[in-house]
Amino acid sequence: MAHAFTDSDIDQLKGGAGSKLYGDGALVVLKALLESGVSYFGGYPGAPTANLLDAVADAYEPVLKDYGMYFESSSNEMAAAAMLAASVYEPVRGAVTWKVLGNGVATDVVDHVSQLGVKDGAMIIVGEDYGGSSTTVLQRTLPWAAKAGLVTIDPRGDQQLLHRMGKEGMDLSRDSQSVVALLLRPHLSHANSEIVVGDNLLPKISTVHKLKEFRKDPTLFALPPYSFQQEKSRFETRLPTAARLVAERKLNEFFGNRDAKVGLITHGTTYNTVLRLLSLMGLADEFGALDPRLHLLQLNVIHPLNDDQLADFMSGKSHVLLIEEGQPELLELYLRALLQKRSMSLSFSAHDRVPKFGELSPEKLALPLAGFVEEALGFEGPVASMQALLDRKQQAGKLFPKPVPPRLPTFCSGCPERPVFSQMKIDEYNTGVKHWHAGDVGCYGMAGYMPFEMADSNIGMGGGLAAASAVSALSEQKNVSVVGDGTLWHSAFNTSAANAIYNKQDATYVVLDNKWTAMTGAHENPNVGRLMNGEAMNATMSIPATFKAMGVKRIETANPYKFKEFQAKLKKIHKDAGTPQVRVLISEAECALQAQRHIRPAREEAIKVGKRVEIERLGVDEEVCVGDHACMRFNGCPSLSLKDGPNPLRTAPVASIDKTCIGCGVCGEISTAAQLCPSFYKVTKIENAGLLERWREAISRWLIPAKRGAPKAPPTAVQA
Amino acid sequence: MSAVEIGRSRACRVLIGTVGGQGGGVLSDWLVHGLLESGWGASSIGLLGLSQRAGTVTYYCEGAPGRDVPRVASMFGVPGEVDLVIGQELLELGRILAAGFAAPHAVIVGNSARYLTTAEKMPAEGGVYDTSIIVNAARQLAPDRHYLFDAQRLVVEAGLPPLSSNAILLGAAVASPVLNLPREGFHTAIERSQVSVKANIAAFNLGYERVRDGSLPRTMVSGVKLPQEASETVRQRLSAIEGRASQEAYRELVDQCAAEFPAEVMSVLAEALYRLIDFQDARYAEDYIGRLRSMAARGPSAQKLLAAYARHLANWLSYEDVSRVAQLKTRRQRFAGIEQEYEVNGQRYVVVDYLVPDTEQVLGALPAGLARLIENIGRRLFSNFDRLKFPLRIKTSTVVGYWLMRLIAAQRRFRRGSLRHRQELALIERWELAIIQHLERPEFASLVVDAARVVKGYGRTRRDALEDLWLFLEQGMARLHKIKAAEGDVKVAGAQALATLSREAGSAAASMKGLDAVLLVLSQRTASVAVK
Repeated sequence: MAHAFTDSDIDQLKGGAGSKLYGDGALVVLKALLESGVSYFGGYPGAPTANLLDAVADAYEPVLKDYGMYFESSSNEMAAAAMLAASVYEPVRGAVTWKVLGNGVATDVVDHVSQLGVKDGAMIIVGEDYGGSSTTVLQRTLPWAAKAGLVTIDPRGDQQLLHRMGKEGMDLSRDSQSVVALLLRPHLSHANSEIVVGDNLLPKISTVHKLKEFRKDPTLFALPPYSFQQEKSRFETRLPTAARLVAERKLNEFFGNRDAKVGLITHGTTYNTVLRLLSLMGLADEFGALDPRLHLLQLNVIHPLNDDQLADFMSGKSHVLLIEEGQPELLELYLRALLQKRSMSLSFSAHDRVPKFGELSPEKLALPLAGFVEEALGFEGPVASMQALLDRKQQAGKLFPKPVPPRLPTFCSGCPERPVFSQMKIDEYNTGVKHWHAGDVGCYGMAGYMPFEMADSNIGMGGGLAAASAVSALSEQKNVSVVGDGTLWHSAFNTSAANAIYNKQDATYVVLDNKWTAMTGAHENPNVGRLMNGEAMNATMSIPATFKAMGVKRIETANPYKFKEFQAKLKKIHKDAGTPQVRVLISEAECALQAQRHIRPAREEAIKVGKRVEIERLGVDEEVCVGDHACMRFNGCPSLSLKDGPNPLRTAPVASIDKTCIGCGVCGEISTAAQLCPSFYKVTKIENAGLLERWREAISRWLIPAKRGAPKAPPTAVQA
Repeated sequence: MSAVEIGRSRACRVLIGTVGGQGGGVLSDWLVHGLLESGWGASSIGLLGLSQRAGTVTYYCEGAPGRDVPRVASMFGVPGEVDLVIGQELLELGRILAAGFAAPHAVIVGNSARYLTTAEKMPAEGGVYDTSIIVNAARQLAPDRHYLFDAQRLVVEAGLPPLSSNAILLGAAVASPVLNLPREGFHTAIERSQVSVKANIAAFNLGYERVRDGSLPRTMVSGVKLPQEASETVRQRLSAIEGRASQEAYRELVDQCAAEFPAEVMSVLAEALYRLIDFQDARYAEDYIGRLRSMAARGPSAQKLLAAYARHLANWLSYEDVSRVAQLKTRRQRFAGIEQEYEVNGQRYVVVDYLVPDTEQVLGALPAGLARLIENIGRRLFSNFDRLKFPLRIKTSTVVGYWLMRLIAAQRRFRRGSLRHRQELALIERWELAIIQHLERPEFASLVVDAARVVKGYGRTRRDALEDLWLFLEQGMARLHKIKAAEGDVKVAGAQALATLSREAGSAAASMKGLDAVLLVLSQRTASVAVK
């Protein structure tokens, strides 16, 4: 629905050898998968690989369906991982995707699939998200992947190489019978550039060429007595084969002079930052050439490592610097152990110079790298040149006596989640009673930011209410927790609701049912009634019916935009808070962003064909507003802002609503509920009004002197 | 010293600061596509995440001549190294400049329009970032190579939709010395995007041509507004006043005051007299002048703070009671404004006003005696009588709704006898008394006068604000006296305490805390001096 690829973007996926493709990392990876002949694809959306699911969904009808690719929008990451089982039993290639957080959700299944091994190739495209824009708790995939025995590809920042790694990864998976994790960082996923592509490969086994039946193999059972043999094959054969092939197929890359005494080891996109910094030090150029005194090994595969390749690189070097991003520092530990095992002696540094944790941005890496280079090459200059750049940063900072305030994200104009938090905030303001608001993972996590600051715990997807269990058992405080429909279907029905009901937790559980998995950019879920590939569902999955079947006695559904009704229902179910019982209030209204996507065109169409249409927008009377901004502290709507007021004697700007307002009416409701001011008004403009209404308008213009100042128009005038 | 031919060719680096959801993705895509079409190699990176929802989203692009030459692009801009900085919004431009990304030779192209952050909107006062800081930084960082212009205004003036403001920024950037490329490639890029192609190409051309012909202003920022000349205010207000008699009265009072009060006070009075006549009548404005006179008669220190006193007193005396609100809501100008803002061209439209008077506001409108009587009875009958509220939705654009509002507005003729009016006068006198008590020490008196700026809002907000005022006048001033005694700077500490107080109704505690912190520092200083 919100998938944003145009027809011409998708058309490029059909391109043959030598043709060009312009697009983001998602499109590049999907093209690589098509060239690898994948039979199935699944996943759970999340940044920075939500766009990969979008690309697959958008390409399904025009391209993938004909190729016979099976596509599933998995209910969570574990379900996605379980799809890979098909590759365990038969030689079918498949890929799934999720964001780095999903690793944990999928772990149990991934461990099984990995232990059993795959036949023709299986790939997990993980949205690695370690940077400043990350939407998750900070973590690396490497420790998880190493523990699960996955081949892990962490390509440098180059879309052409990413394309190659997609294909090589699938072949490596086949030839080592191991599951491959391809890390897709935001810098790759959200990068747009142009690449040269190859021919697509039709899968042998597909929805159009089905197998008669899947082979049954009793030894493919991940428990004793078979598991030891699987473990043996994994560590004696499969992973060592992968390590050998990594070197043979030159998946890791060497740059510079192999006889140089000074070595640098990079992985993933740290390569790009190192290269740029070296070029600024005069030791590299922007085409990848290095100073002959330097030799660089880029690890595009970070697990398994090839001991011989690493030892060869380090032997004969006097100094080696490993640039490893984040913790735990598995690459460093591995390399230090290798040096010890092979009794190699050289000056090796890693996190003793490079920042231990956090994204390695140029400004963080500049001085450590320059310091190493000066010491290893024995000349001065790099530190001074890097310092000069950093000084410019400082000088610019001095021009700003007041720091530039942060711009934190906020609920969209007309969002149905805002009024829920507004009402809880107003309730707190009116009663002074502060409940514990356990949050969960979704757009509503933004309630943790200004002006609400009402996500008291935000503890991992689906675990929101469960996080309130001991909290409310150990305090007098009542809890009012929120969860979205997407997260409910992902895991919260089990992890939070079932847990709470079974354990007699005292909870008021507010379900923000906006009909979409909205946070990821609007993805289909069971509430939408449609699959991500566009097909209709053939069953109804109802949230209230599910709660009812789980034994919840008090379930209410309310429209969050109607404060009176909503508050009454919330009050009603919250009345006996304190008794051990789960009470559910379903706040039901479609995601405004999604709703507007169909309302707007439908409205324009209706106006064109002469149908009666009401258009609503809110406003603020600039003369009545005194600039106390109390409304802002319960709202935070992007359409509600400030402007200079008409009274120059006042010392503050007045509130103002711009044309992006979609008329949800929440500012007026807030003003009433928190008893703020009489400044807000709603204007309903009626296009193609009926005769009776036009007469009424004419009469009102005649009987209302204030309206007579306004331009008159004939009552028959119809505006398109 | 190195064998590599360095500086062989350096890609152009571009950072684009945007507000999530405002078309920054399309803008960066136009840039990359346009560069590719111009025979360059180019790529861009946008880090989105949650920030797509009106948070900061920054795009980083690199490009260089040679479409098929493989290059190693950086994933990040390097401080002091970016050649072209584009700010889709002024604060986001400021963020990039403050982080020091601009190279010494950088070109800066920025939209001077502001899109306020939530944090800026929340405080009642002092929340909005001072944009002159950003403008000054752009001037310092790129003295002859910056263009800060109101992109929305320029495109709208050219008859284009406001949403084409991104394209005008791109046009200016492409024509600027750092890129200086022919426009055709970018036209193709805009056509390919299928986003309002005609308008965006026109806007692109506008930016492109105005940079080329040198007519694009370096800075076009509506900065701090200069106070308007009193005579200009008088001219404007005369035409706004309803009724010939009121107009005459306004003119007379203005002339009378001009002879009596200095220019500084007159610039306040030109507006204040208009507001008070509009609020009640000419006699009401005369009473106000009377108060100014008696304050001025208290000597030179009172005369010094007369302008501030006049300003806050005028706001206070034109308090927003129900009849004032009804009056403002039934104005001809209001309807004309709504019809313009909502593009009403003869269509039927309905205006619903959200009103929520409470007991205090309703009783306040009644004659004092009657109000007291009802209050006494009401309190006996209802335990929550004082907390009652009466949410109303009135369709002011309909005949019934309009005349109901007019009826309420007409109650203003009885305002002088109302309970609310008596209460307000008593409060004003309490404030005036505090001013008079501090006249001996002008630095304190001016703080007392200025503190009245927090008195605003309706219902509870206003009650909290008044509470803040009295707490400040009692406890705050007491603390400031101690600060004075400890040889602290009363002016600075007082201004800071007032700034805190005026951020939000109910901030008295925070304000006192600030003063306590000042006192603590002073007492420690005294203690350390004593030890020495």
